[in-house]
Amino acid sequence: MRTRKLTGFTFVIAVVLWTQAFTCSKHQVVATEHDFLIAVTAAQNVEIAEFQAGNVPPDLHKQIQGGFLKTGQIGEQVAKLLAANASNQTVLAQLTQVVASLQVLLDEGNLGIKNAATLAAYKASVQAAIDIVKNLATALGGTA
Amino acid sequence: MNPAQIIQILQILLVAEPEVVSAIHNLLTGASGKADTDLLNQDIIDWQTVQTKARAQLGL
Repeated sequence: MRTRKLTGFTFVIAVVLWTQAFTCSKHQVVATEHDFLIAVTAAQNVEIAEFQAGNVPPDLHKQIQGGFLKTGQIGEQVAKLLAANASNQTVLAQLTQVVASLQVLLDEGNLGIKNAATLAAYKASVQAAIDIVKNLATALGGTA
Repeated sequence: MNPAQIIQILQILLVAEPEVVSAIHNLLTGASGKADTDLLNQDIIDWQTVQTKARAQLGL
């Protein structure tokens, strides 16, 4: 009788912990996706402000905003996949594209932004977005 | 194990761990899932805003 009680108790604890862990990990992934959006929005705003201040050449500005357009499209896709409870592998495939797209943005800034302060602010904001996406991939059990 | 014993165990757990109370509450109400869904729906709109802003800068 005592063994049966103990088994039941252990089972209840295991079920509760498992469900809690699942709830937690899904929530963490969604929260990280939200951080990614915030970081990309911030990076885009930094670039627009620096362009308006005359610190980014017009051609480069268009190139970079083209990159933000692409990143925004993939970001929307990632959010839609998470909302639809897509498999981790499917989301990870999108995240790999996101990192590639953000890396292009970083490289373009490195090559074309001559103002040191502008470049530093831009690099920091894009790098923050890259780091968040990599964390998101880790939370999904992969790499990007 | 009868239902009364299960309830007794749950009562012990509920008193011991606030996180467990929260997790069970979320499971029963789906609150956490709904909050995540709401956040993702808002994020989808905000990702579209990123695109709109980029298109405006590109003159598209």
